Amino acid sequence: MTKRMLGAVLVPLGIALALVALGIDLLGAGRWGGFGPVQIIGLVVGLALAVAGSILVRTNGRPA
Amino acid sequence: MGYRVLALVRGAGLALTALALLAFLGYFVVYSYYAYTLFRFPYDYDQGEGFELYDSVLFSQGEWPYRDNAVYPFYASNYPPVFHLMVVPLVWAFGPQLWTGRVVSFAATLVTAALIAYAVRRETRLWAIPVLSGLAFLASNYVYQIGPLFRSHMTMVLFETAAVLVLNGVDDPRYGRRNLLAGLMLLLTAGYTKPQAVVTAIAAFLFLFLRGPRRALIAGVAFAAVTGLIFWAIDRATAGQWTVNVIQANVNAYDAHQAAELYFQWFQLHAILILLAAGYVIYELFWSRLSVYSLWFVLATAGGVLSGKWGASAAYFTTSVAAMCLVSGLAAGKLSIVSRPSPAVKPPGAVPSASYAALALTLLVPVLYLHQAVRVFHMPTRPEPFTTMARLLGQPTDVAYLDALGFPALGRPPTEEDSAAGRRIAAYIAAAPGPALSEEAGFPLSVGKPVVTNPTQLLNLDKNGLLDKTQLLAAINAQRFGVVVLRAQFYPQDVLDAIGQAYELVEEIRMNGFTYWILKPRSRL
Repeated sequence: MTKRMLGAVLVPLGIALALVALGIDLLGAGRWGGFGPVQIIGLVVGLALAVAGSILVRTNGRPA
Repeated sequence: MGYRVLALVRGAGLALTALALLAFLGYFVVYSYYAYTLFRFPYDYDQGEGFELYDSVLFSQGEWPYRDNAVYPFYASNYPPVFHLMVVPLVWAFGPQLWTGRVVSFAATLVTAALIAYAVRRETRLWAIPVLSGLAFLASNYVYQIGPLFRSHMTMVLFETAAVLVLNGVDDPRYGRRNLLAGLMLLLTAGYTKPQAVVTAIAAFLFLFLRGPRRALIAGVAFAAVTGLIFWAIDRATAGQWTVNVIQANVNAYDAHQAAELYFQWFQLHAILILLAAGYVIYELFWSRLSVYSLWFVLATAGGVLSGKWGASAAYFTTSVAAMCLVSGLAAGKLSIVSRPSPAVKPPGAVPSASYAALALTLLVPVLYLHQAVRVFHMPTRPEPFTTMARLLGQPTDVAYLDALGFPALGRPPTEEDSAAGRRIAAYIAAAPGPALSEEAGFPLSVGKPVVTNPTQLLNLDKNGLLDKTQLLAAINAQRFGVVVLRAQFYPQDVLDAIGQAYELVEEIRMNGFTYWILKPRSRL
């Protein structure tokens, strides 16, 4: 697998994780009324994965 | 002048490295002393140890510990069998002694540390940093606290570490296939030691997928088939009790706040190693190839999310600690190699500015390890020479044990007073007619009485609506147990209520910082 392919996997994965972290309260799964600590971790990790993935997508076809 | 400064800085770097090694060797001495005191302590130090011993006892008698909790002795295990089977030969040789499993678990942590050191040594060809990496694992507060206990967790970490180490050589042109097979078998063993090894399995298959999707898929199907076959065979042999007790009973309530607090604590304790390891993952992600070690660190850290489960603890981060010690060792090794003097840089002549930057790294790496050593601070303050050591380090000596975590439930070496308290509780059980209802199995096992109930297992099953308590409640109401020993009151509420109605408190005994309640049957006119 190349770094570009890995990036193409990480971008949607990161966005999905961030969206789940943001929207989990709407599903009634959050324990707090506000934004909980695990949601913050999920959002940060999700965004980091998306950013890393978008950088990798721009790289050449080196093996991951 | 310039080269003199360089030589001085290099000497300072060596001195700091020696100091860092000394600090971590000090932690190793503390760890060994704690283990020694636990080997000598014959009762449960951590609630649940005695039940794991009882699992080994049952295996040693050719019986399964996955049983029907609705009938006497209302006992079942919620752990897979590998660790308990490993202890069986010691149980055959020495009888039901808690030190048997403690020795196995302690040895597992030593081998894990050696494997971490070996992996870092193999990749970096250095000496000091691999030793520091291995010792840093043993110096983690989490590993220190649970390493020498009769618990299966650290043996799982050993098999996980070994699996990752072997799978790293899966692309070896000569031994690749052998490494793949051995790595998968070690993964399987880890999973049947404790299910939390699933995070390492995911990391391993992710690595295999990156290196060759076809091979990963074939290996994955074979792995799933063997895992499933073993699962099916045990479930069939235990008439379905394996699934009930190991899978269904472990579906517990999740507390995200508990997981977040443990993540915060984990970071506070290991910040330097975590940041070094994270930096190495980023380096591999963008500038090199992702190794199984980096993927293991990432997945093991993500696996910390499971620590929010009821009954989970910081132990769920020990796989992450092993991975971070290994990967941070690779990072530190990389920095050390960069800081080596270039053959072209020799006196006389002007000192290149790059040499100064490299020398800064010479100092930085040992300073980072020294800072890490401070972060995980823990030591007993007695007996000597620990009292003097604590004084020299400017620490208070009016408490028996110091820990960066404050006052954790585990870590303080048990004392003779604790042993005396344990003997007193065991004497109640020995003197009572019939079996005892004890929240810790170490007491009845020490006096040759049967082990009755596994309270946390009963609670888990009860919460999931899987426990028929009719016979247990009837036995309590009929006062069939000569004595009841409670510590954490883990039994389901209606069981506790029944105990309160049929038994009365006769003594409270302090042991290892916990209060044990001794209850005897109420007189009924």
